[in-house]
Order: sequence, then structure tokens, then C-alpha cells
Amino acid sequence: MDQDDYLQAIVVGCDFTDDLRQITPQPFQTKILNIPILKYTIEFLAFNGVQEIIVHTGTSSSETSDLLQECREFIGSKVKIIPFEGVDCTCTVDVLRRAQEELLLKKDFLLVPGCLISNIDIKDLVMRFKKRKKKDPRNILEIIAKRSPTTNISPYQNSESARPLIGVNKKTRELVYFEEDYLNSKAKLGPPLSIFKDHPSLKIYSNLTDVNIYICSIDIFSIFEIDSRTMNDVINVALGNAEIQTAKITVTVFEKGYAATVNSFPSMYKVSMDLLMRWLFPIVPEMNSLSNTNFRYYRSFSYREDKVELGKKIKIGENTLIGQSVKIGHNSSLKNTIIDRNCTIGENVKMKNCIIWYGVTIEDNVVLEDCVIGDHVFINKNCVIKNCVLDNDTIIREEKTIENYKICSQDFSNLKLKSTEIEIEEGSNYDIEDEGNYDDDDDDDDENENDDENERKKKLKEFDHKSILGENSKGFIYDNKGIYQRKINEKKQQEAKEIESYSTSSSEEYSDSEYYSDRQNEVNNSPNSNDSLESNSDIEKDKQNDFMPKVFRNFENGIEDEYDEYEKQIEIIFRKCLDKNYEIEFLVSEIRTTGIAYRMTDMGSVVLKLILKIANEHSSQTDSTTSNSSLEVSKDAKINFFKKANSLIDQYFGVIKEFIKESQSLALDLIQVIFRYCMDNEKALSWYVHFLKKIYDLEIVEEETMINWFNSLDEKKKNSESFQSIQENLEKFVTFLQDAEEESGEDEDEEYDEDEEYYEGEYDENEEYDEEEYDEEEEYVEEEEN
Amino acid sequence: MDKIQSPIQFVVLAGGTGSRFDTLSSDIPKPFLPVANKPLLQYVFEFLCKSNVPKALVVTHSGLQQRIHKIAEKLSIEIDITTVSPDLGTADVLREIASKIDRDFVVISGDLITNVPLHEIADIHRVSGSAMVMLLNEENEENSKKIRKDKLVSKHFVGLDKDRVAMFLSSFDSGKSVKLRKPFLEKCSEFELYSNMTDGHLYFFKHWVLRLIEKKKKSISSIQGDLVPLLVKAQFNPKIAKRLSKYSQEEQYPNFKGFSSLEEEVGTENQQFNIKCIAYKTPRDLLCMRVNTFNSYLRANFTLINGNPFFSREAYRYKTVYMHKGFKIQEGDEIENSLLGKELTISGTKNVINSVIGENCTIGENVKIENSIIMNNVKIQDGCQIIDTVIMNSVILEENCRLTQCTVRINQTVEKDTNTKNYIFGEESFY
Repeated sequence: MDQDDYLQAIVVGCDFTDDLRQITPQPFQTKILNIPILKYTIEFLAFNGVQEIIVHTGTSSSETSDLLQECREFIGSKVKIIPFEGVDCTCTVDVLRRAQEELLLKKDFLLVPGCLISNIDIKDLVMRFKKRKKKDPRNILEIIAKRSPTTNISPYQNSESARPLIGVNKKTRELVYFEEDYLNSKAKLGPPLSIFKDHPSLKIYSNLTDVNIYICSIDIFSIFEIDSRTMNDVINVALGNAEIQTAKITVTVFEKGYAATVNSFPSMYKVSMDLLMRWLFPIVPEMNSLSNTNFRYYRSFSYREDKVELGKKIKIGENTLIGQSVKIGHNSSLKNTIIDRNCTIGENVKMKNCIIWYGVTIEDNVVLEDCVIGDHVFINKNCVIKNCVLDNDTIIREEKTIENYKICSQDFSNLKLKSTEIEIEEGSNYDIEDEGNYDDDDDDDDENENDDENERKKKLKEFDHKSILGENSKGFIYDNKGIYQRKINEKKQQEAKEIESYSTSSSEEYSDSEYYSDRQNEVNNSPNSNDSLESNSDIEKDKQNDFMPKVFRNFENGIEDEYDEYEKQIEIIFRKCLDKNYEIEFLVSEIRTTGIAYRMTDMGSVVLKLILKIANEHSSQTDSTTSNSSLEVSKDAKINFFKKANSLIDQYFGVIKEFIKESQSLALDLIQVIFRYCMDNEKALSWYVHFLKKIYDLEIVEEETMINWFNSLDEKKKNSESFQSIQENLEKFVTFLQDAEEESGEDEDEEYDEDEEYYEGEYDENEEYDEEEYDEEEEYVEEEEN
Repeated sequence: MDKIQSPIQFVVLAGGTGSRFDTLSSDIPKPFLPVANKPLLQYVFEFLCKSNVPKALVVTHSGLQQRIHKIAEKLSIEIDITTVSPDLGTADVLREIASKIDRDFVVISGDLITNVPLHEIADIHRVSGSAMVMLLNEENEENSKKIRKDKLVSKHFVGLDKDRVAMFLSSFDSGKSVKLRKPFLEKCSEFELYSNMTDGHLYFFKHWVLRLIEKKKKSISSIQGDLVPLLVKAQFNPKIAKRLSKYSQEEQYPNFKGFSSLEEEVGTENQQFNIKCIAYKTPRDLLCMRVNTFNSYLRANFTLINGNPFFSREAYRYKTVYMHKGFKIQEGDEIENSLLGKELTISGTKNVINSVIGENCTIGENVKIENSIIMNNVKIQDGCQIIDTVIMNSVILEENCRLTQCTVRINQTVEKDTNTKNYIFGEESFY
């Protein structure tokens, strides 16, 4: 019996990413509430009846062995803690292999990361797993997953963290479908039909967090393959061989309890706050059993150790934790902040959402927001530091405002060699190990990654460390991302928006930035204001380069080489297609490829422009045969032009739609293309409203977009001569649109009848719904990327 | 009328060409196919009667009205028959009869055999305020074994988030995998995905759905194929929901038209995403079968003869056999799990297992019948062996025939000593 109950656990100390590397050499030494996180992990394992814990450390530094010794002391003699160096292991699977080679693993074992913090009870699960394994030895792995609230992605959760999409057989809990990271995967999602033969009903989860607790059978080594690196790889392999049924993986989704892994700064902050708010009960700060702390619990989730010296009029807000012998000067305030022992904090210091480690000195009047500050950091008075990470021993001696940086005490840009050496020792850098172990397999990847690395280092050199941090400071900038990338971006955009003071209510369809930039472009490109705005817009352009629909720049200058080329390419394809009557789908895929090659997104606009251009050529050809070289454009030519354009649009609106569906801002481009074209071309001018109607009827562009565009036309534009000739019609049309949008019922009837003419044949409304869904999807992806 | 109006209208779709029936329905129109010796449509009527539905609209093809009336006469249900052209889709049919529907309504397919509690579903519909409640049935694997494979089964993928229908896909449009879209997953992050759910084709709809059907002539032609997927999608796609809300809002504020501006301010936000599609899963011990394929026809027959509440009172039960007066079982007879129609004569020892035999049949000596369905007025002469076979009306089987997995069509005569497997008699002579 004893043998049966014996349970081992292996703790993988390095998580093989370098997210927290700026502040600790090893993730498991990251301090959560002043206690290294490894202790929480070990507490969790001991609580669940593990008798032997193998800790993979990656190095054999004295700090680590000290830490392990401390762990042994608090956990007692019942649980053995065995350090396991595994120096050049590069991934979880490597660690397991090595551990097995050294005959450390005997039977079933738990596999957890070293940065796990949890209070769930998995004893029952382990028992059940063992029973199941007895019945069917193919049961080799059980994944323990936890629901995450879907609404709570930002800003604390690491936006880059993977979100798996899994399908589990409803009855047997067997894992049958697994997508590692569905938010970022480009592939089409969804379980293949073949699964349903054996598993008629699945439960699909997309709301699970990657908790990384696994119950493994010793037989798991049978499904490791040479290129397996992470557990996800292992799972994929097992599922890939599903027909052979060599391995069964089960999934248990935990309803109760708390589990999280700390692998980034946001998650570090979040977990700390959760601890303070007692979500992890019975693990709470005043438990004081993990370490030699003596916290006491005060009101509103505030905790303090003894010997804390507080000045007068100090405001201690909610969710704070103050370690032993901390001194805080008068009038300071703190909220959502954790301060480790022996820190000295001056007067009038404001701290919000900060984590401050051991022995930090902060002088008077400093403002800290969203910061993680390492051991022994010195911050000069009057500094303002927001959204930053300061490495151990950083010293800032001048009065500076620092925002959105990660700052290291070592200079990574100059210390190329040295830094790589360090990384080898830690056994954690992907690139280098790749070279070491998998030279032949991944050569290309390596080069790429190295390139990336070099590029990054180049970038680092560009930072003006001195001017940012001050002459006498000690510290080097690692990157300019800060902790919460996204939050800050949003703020900036908002500010920018406020400055420009566009008062119109932006529609839901655009993300702010898009909307903003579109407006910007309009201003830049309005036909009559070219000259006056040229100088201003140059600066704007530089700023907005990424957003700028380049099709307009082309209208203006016709210089953009690359863009020209790209347009030409599409033109060639399009004309070919016209000649040879290719399938629309073929055309779409060709154009899309071109677009991707040139990194453009406005293929729809280009196609529309092309159509107008071709129609124009067509009409001038016929024109030249009838009436030679009259300066005035004949009526026939106008009509010819419209007819041709109309028929071309009818034929190819599917193509345009295909490229517009990504977002309505692209549709806005379309409207502007037509506008610009019609303004410049006399033939087209009188047909302008007809074109608008056309693309509206074909449901390429939505009412809202059109109306928004119309409302955004500025006065200068409206005053232009050519505009006035169409203004009346345009206004009529816009009223029509507004009616269409507002009114329902009878009015729509008429509208509908009109529409139906175009609906015939290939057009099916259901398809449209599908596309809309795509719309959303694309927008969504964009959002994520921001 | 004098009576209080029922709050819900019932529409029975008794058309259907039975195109997936192989040969059966070309001889007998689908509503009248005998299932356990009763016309298929009668099951629907009985179901409605039992649920105290006083009145139903019945939609069918021309030529079938009289026989439908006949079926309804026996039951306490008032029916109103409309005929439509046979090539219309199910939603097209609703569009045709839209003028007759002025309330929330229920659409029932004429080929449904069920005993689910209709009032419960109605309650769910009312309480949840859902646009649609649909009847679903999870098929057990055990049932589907032993029976010939369908050539064409319309398979569905149904996603359920608790009792909400989150996904409704037919496998034909989903390619090699079931597509899941990211925005959908964000909104509906946990759900059960069934491939073995069958759609009972019993739908409760809000009245506004009818308006939607009327408007979208081009894009909605079938309920199952177009309307249901659209409604289901609308739950999680704000854009579609917004469009549909045009239709639904009119209804939700019928008396407040004067306050339209207020309505827009207050109402839209809440109403917009409020389309709900609810599923009613058939409880394990109740029946929900659709007879729309040959296979399901067999299954329905065999399920029904295994003891259930659908038989008329005339039949009485002896052990596992249902039979009529005048038929006697003697010692040595092997009769199990079967339903025997009126006026049946079997000479000599009887050997009937797991089968349905219709009215006025004459069966000779030494005949063995197993897993088969024999309709009315069939004569089977001595020494025949009939296994896994369907024999339709007025067929004569001459001596010593051995039929396995066959279908014999109406009025056929099978010559003596025929020994075949997997064959349809009379196929060429008709079409």
C-alpha cells in the first residue's frame, strides 16, 4: 500500500521564457509578498500529499540552495526536497527526460511549474487517476485546468499569455481536441469531423487558463518525441496519434479554488493583489508559516509587520503590505502597494500599484505608479516613475520622469558575449540551446531568432540611457515596453484625441486609432487644402505613417515607389483576369497574395480605383472613335463610362467586398477613393452619387460609415466647385441613408425591393452574415495586436 | 370565436415529399405511411390532442386534404388545411400562410413521433422570452445499431451552452472541421458540442420571426437550413442581432409607438442582444423520433412495438405482443415483441419475432417473420422466410420465398422460390 500512495512531484524551476528575467535570475525566486514563489509551490504540493519534491533549479547557485534549505525547514521532515540541477535543459520535456535518466522518477508524479501558486485540492484527482490507470494503462496524463473569467483579460493578465481551446469528451473527460493558443493562431479553428465518430458529444472550453499542473504516469515517456519541447507539444503528439490510441489524456476543470502561474510582471502584480484580498485562503499573509514573517492584518486588506515607522498624516489605502523595519515619511500615501523589509521612503511620496522589494530607498516627493522595483534600488527625490520595471541595484540620481521602460542594472547591448554566457549558465535561453542540441533541425529558426536578438540589441543601443536616466544614474534600458503595454497606448490615443478635439461621437465600428487616423487623412488630402496643409501634415504623416491609407498619398504625389509597384501588380493581375475571365476566387487569392507581399491592406480600394480607371479608358476609347479630340466630355462618353463602371462593379464587387470585410475603416477608404476620383475626373463627377448608391446597395459599405463620412467632410471641401455640383444629390442620398438606418418596417420594404435586383444569382444573404462574423473577427485580432 | 384564444398557434407541416425515403413514399404519401399500423400524421395529431391543443393549421399538398381530414375526424382536434406547392421550403410555406398567423406560433413537422410534455416547452418559451425554442434529441448509440445505414443523413452539429443553443451547423457547410470563430468563443466560452443531436423539428417561435421570414424572401427558405442558423448566430453576433431587432422591437412595444424616440434611447441597448434560442432536450425516457428516412421509419416501428403508450385501445396486449380480438396464440407459437393488425390469419404454427403486421393479412404455414414490417392486405403463402424486410400493401408472396433486407412495393407479386437479399421489388415497373 505504501508504494501505491507514494507520490512524487517535479517542479520545473525555469519556465524558459525571459519575461521576469530583468529582475530575477530565476523565476521561482520572484518574490510574491516578500516570499519567493517557490515556497508557495512547495506548500501546495505538500498540502496535496506529495512525499518527494524534485526541484529543477537549472543552476547550483548558493542562493538557490539557501532557498531550498529554507523550504525544508518550513515544510518539515515528512516531505523530501531534492534539488536537481539539470543544467542544460532547455525545456520542460528535457527536464523530464533528464530526471528519468538519473532515475529520480519512480512512479506517477505531478508536474508543476516553479511559479505556481494555488490552493486547490487535487488529492482525489490523483487517486482517481491511479484507479483509471490500473484499468487502462493508456491513461498517461491528466491536465488540471482552471476557468478564467473571460472578461478579465486586460490589463493585469498578460495579454500574450496563451489561451488554449480544448475539446473534451463529455462522458469520459478525454481530451480529443487541443489548440494551444486560439487567440493567436492563424489556422482555422474547430475540431475535425473525424473526432465525432468516436466522441459524439464534446465539451468545448475556450476559457481555461494555462495552469500547468499535470498528473503524469511514468509511461508518459513513451509519447515523447525528439522535437517535443513543451507539454503542449507532447499533448499535440498524443492527439496526433489518436487513431493508434497509444495514449489517453484526460482533463479536469477545476471549479473551486485558485490557481495561477506567475510568469510576467502583470501576473505577478495580479497574484499579489489576489493574495492580499484573501482569494487564496487559507494561504494569507498573516499565516506567517512560509517564512519568518510576522504580518498582522489591518482593515481593508492592509498588512504590516512590526517595527514599521510611519510618519504623520500617512494615507495607507487598501491592499497594502508593509514589511519589517520600513520607514515612511510624512504625508506619503500608498495604495495597492507591497513594500518589502528595510525600505526607506521619504516624505510626500505617492505610490500606487507598486511592488517594492528589499532595501529600497525612495527620497521625498517621488511619484510611483505601476512599478516593480528590485532590491536595493535608489530613487532620487522628485522623480516620477510610471509603468516601469527597475532591476536590482539600479540607481537613479537625478530628478527624472521615466515612463514605460524596463531598466536593468547591466547593459545588455554592450555585454553581448557576457550576457549570452550568463544565459547559458542559467540554462534557459532558447537560441543558444537550440544551437547546442538541435543544430541540424532548426538552423533557419536560429538564424532568425539571432537576427531578432541582434536587432533588439541594436535598438537598445539607440536608447539614450544617459538622457533618460540621468548622468550619474546606474542602469540601462532593456526595452521601452513597460509593464502594461496596452493600457498606456490607449491612454496616449485618448490624449491625442482630446488634443485634436474631434467632438463627433465616434461610431462603435472603429477603434479609436483608426477613426482618428482616417480623419487625419481626410484633412491632409482634401483637394483644395493641399498646399496650405502640406507643411503641417508632414509631421502628422510621420506620426501616422502606419495608419495612413497610402492610396491617397499616391493621389497626391505619385512618388511612393513601393506603393506604385504594388498597385501595378494588382493592375496586371486584374487586367489579366478581365482578359481571360478567371474565376473571382482566383482573382481574390492572387490579389490577396500581392497585398500580403507588400504588406498592404487596402486592396479593395485599389481594385475599385482600377475599375474606375478601366471604365474611363474604355469610355475614352469609344469616345475617340466618335468625336475626335473635343475638350468637353461628351454625354456619350459619360454614359459609356458609367455603364462600363457599373457592369465592372457588378462583376467584381465580390472581390472588393472580400477585402473590405476586415474593417469598415477600409470601407471608408473606398468612399474616399470614389470621392477623389470623381472630384478629379469630370466624366465621373455626375455619377458620384450613383457610385455611392451602388456600393451601398451591394452592401459593401454600411449606412453608418457613409453617414459618418459625410458628416466629417470639412467646409473647405464642401466649398469646392466640383463638390457643389453634386452636393444636392449627395445630401439627398445621405438623408435617404439616414432614413434607412432609422426607420424600420414599411420603409424598409421599398428599400428591400430595390435591393433585391442586386441580390439575384450568386448573392446570398447568409454568406453576408458569415462575412460579418469575419469582420468582427478581424477587428478583434487587430485589437489584440494593439 | 366564443372560446378563449389559445395564446399560441400550431402549424403542422404535413407536406414533404419524403425524398429520403427510397421507395416507400412514392407509393404512399409520407403523412399516411403506416407506422405501427397507424398513419404517420396521426401521431402528431394525437400528440396535440393529448396536450389539449384545440386547433391547428395544417399545411399540405393538394390531393391529400381529404385523407388528412379523415385522420383528424377521429380525434378531438379542429384543423384548418391549406395546400401549397410541393417544392416550397419549410419557411416558404410559413410565408404563404403568414396571413393566418397572428400570434406566437409553433411549427411541427408532420413526421414527428413524440410524447414530450408540450406545455413544459411552452412554459420555457414564455418564461425565457426566447425567440425560439427547439426540440432536440440526443441519440443513443445503442439504438442506431442493427439497422441499415442511411444513404443520406443530414448531420447537425449543435452547441449547447446550458440550455441555450449556441451553435447550429449542418456538416455540409462546415467542411472537414467544425469551424469555431474567435469572437464567438469569446462570448460563449464554454459549451457542449453534439454531433448526435437530432432536430425534432418542433419549434416555438415568437411572432416577429414570421415577419422576418416574410421580409427575407431570398435568404430564408427552410426553417432548419436558414432560419434556425440565423437566429442562433444572432445571439452572439451583435450586427445580425441589430438587424433582427428591427423586427423584434416592433412587437415588444406594441402599445408605445408614440414614444419611439424614448424607445430608441432606452430600449435598443437592452433589446439588441436579447435574442435567445433555447433548446429543450428530450428526457431520456421519452420519445422523439422523426420519420424522414427509410432507416428512421424502421427504427420508429421497432421502437414503438417495444411497449409504449401509442397504441389504440382496440389492441390488447399479451406478454410482449399486441393483437386484436379473434387472434389466438397457441402453445408452440413463437411470437415476440410484435404488433399484429386486425383480421390476421396465420395458419399452422406462428413464428413472428420483432415485427409489425398490418390489417387483413393472410399468412400461410411455416412462415417465419423476423424484424420486418408488413403492411395491409398482404398474402404470404407457405414456407416463406421474411427477415429485415418491408412489405407494402397488397403484396402477394408465393410459396417458399426467402427475402432478407428487401423492400416489396405496392401490389407486387413475388414469384415462388425467390431467394434474394437486399433488393427492391417493383422498382423498375413504376419509374
